[in-house]
Amino acid sequence: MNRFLSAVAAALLAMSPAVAADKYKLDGENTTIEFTGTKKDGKHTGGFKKLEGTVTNDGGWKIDVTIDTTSLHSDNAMLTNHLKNGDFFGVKDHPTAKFVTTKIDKGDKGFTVTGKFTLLGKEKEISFPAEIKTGETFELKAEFKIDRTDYGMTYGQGKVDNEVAIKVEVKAKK
Amino acid sequence: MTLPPTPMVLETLRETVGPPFAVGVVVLFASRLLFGKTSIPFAALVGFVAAFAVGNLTSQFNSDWWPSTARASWLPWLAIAGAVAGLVARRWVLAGAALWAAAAAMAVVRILAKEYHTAPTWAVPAFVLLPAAVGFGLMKLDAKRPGFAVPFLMGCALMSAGTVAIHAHSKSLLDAATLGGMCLFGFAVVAAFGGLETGSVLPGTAILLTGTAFASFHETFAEIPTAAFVLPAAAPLFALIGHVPAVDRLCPKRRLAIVLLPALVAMAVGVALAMQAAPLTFDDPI
Repeated sequence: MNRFLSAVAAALLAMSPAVAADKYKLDGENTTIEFTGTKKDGKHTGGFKKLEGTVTNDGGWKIDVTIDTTSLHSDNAMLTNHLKNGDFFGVKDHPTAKFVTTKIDKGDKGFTVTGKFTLLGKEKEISFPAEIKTGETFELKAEFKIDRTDYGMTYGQGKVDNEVAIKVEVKAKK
Repeated sequence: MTLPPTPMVLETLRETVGPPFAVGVVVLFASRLLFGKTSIPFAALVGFVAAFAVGNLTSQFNSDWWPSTARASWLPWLAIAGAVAGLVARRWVLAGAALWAAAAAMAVVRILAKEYHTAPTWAVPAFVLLPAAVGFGLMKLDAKRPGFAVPFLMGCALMSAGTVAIHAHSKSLLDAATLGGMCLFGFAVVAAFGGLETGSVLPGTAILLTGTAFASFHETFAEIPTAAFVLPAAAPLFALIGHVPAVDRLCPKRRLAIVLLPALVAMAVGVALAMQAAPLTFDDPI
């Protein structure tokens, strides 16, 4: 009996590193989320300094990230304050944005990430191409566009373009 | 202080300032000409609604028209609801008051941030009682002494609240206040020549005023003193001194000075505080 229990304990110990290997922690240091808003006579870039989330593999890969919208920054201090208030991100009422994958498909040219993105309290499914590498580190690179008006961000339509370019880079260790 | 570039000034005049002012003038003048003085309270409501509609078309303030989660998108609708209540209250006081209370309750839900619903305990009463006192108090004052003074004063209050809002970096709130404020300036111009009573819209504009002040205070990340937001919203209360019989009996110039000046000074102080705390630059606005 003792031998049997010892064998089970040894097997569990042997399995546990494999489970841990499939979990990566995301934060503002290893993950960058940048956006570029455009208008007819220029553009502005910005991003978020704080976020937290995980990438897990329990038979299938899943990414779950919560962005702290109060950590928003941009290339202009006055613009940062404008982006934070109700005309754009309304961060006092909506201090977080969230993205949770529903599926990650491998294609010929890379991966397609599909998930639910919640911004300003509105959830919408988005899908974007991405380069993904796994191993000791989880690496993801993606560039895509979202329509800000899908989330009720309607300020300045006609002057500020509806489509906003998003650039995501993740390099998270196990 | 940096002045905005000329193209921006012209664009603002063309899109946000000019249209509601013109609508206010035209609707009131046409109504006076075609239907006489008795039509003016109703015409004021029509002009107020039309000013928001035309101003929304020209400025693209809210291209969806219907309100969204953004506070600014609710303000014109709440202001119109309050103005309808004001018109109803002229004839049926209780019905008008009930309608206005419904609009104010909606304003509490949509404009006042959730954390203020419970604490401090005076937040909700203050958010309702301030526009009630300003709106109905000024409406009664305008009924007693119809003319340019009251719509002019309320126009100044809205423009002051809008100026503080833009220094707090909210263009939408500035636009909402400007659409209402410029319409009132239009009313004031026409009312100046005929002693016309346009005060029925004031209970609505008072909701717009308080809503603009609170929303810009709550949403801002600029370090602007609270007094800058409170002063434009509360300043019209000074004008209620016009209800005092001794003031009412004064000659028109003195009465106007006593009614208008303290309120205008309070508004100017509010604007100055905001300008000093968060000066604007116009190098690359959006």
